[in-house]
Amino acid sequence: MEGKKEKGHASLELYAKIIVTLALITIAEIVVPYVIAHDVNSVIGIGLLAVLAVAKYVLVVMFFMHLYYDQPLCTFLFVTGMVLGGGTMAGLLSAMPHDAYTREEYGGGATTGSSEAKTYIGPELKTPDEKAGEQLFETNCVTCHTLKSVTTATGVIGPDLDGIWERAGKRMPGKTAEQYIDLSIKEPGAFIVDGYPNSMTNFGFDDTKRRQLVAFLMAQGRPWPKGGGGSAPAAGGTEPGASTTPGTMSSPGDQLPATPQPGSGESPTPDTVQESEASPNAGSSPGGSISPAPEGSASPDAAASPAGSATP
Amino acid sequence: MSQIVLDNPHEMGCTGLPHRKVLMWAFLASDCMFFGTLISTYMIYRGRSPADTPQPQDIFDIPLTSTSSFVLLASSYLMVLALAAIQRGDMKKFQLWTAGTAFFGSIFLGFQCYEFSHFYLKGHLGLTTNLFGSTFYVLTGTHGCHVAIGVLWLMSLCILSLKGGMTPRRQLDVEIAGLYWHFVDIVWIVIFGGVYLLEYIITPAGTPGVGH
Repeated sequence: MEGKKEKGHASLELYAKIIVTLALITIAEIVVPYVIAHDVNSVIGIGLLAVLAVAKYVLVVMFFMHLYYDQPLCTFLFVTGMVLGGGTMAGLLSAMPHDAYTREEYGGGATTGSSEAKTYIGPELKTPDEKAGEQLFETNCVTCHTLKSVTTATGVIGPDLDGIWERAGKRMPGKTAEQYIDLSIKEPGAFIVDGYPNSMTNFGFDDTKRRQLVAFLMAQGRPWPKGGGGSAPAAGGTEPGASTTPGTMSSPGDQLPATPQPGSGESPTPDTVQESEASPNAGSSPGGSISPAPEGSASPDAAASPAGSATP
Repeated sequence: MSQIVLDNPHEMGCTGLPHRKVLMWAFLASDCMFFGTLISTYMIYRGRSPADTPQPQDIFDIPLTSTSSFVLLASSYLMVLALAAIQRGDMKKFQLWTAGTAFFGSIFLGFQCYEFSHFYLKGHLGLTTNLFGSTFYVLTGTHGCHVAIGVLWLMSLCILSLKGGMTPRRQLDVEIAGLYWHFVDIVWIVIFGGVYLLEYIITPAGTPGVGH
């Protein structure tokens, strides 16, 4: 009857060693956020945490739960569950856009139905340049710059880049928006936005990378595809003259023209954009849930102010 | 229930393992998937809460959560001591360690109650405030439910033993309870790393409480 123990048995001494090890690993885990500098790529931190957590997990399962000594069937059962559970996690995490708000399937009411009405839905990135630019941006820029469509972009050292497509063209005489952004990456000190330190380093991006970043940033001002369905993806979005043609609207909730068109110059984000702040359920209207207005960018220049006021 | 003892011939299946133990492992395997979906949900909705609603960094208290993590870890250790005691036939020690495990589990629950009420009253984070609130409370609340069930289970074992209803021949009951308890512990290992500590690693700027 004691068959399950025939293969051996953990001694009390071993248990004591394991619990001490577990405690030490836990201390190491807690220390990780303090020693990983914030400007270090967080992949290192995540990797460290993952390794430490897995080590604890394995120790507990193998020895406290006796899988190391027990019959293989137990291990088989549990590993099957873990594979299925891990597969579920991997599947969910890869199927759902958990890293950015750019996918169209999130424009619908599913996740933005209630108090999420103000969640920002980023533009759909179309060209390879824009997508490559997003990667570059996530890797290099998010520590200092804010961009609502990139979850990790919450930095306040540099200007908020939401709506930069609209402001960039007016910064330096004779330079288009693209040229200005390109120059700002190439020579960060060429133009310093009021209220910000001249602290951006030259990242040494070559022409291709700068072009990709510019494409990505300029895309941040493009109108969004209609949420929930994509029957009218980016209708008129790439046609500067297509704004506000009443006949193209199927219902008031579908108003794409609430978004300023690139090239429409001074037009601020219209106040018709529903922020749905008051009622938790106000977001159930399609217009509210796909509200494309970047928060705080009621006017072209105001977009930089929230970050600006927080700058030392 | 009291008839089930280790040498009950009906207890063993053709697997060479007691039925109930196989059942517990199968249950734990399914619970892996259960928690997997909850943790995934939390991860997917990270950073999706409106900026003017409570964010994880605003309200997480790492020293507090670390303490409760240590408490839960220590309770796992007491659990293996309890099982070892009943396997030796040392019922006094078994009662002591089982009561200790349940007690430490209760401390963990106390920390969680404090944390939840603190988040709700001071942090203004309710279940429906934002996606962070919903996913966080459902995930950690589900785990807390598991802990609470485990505490009740261990306490019932302890009381049964005090009343003389436990013998060393019923160590399988303890082993199964232990499997459940350790599983609750490893789920917390994942939550502690993936929910609490991760918050201070992926958020590059403006992280309070961590050297800047």
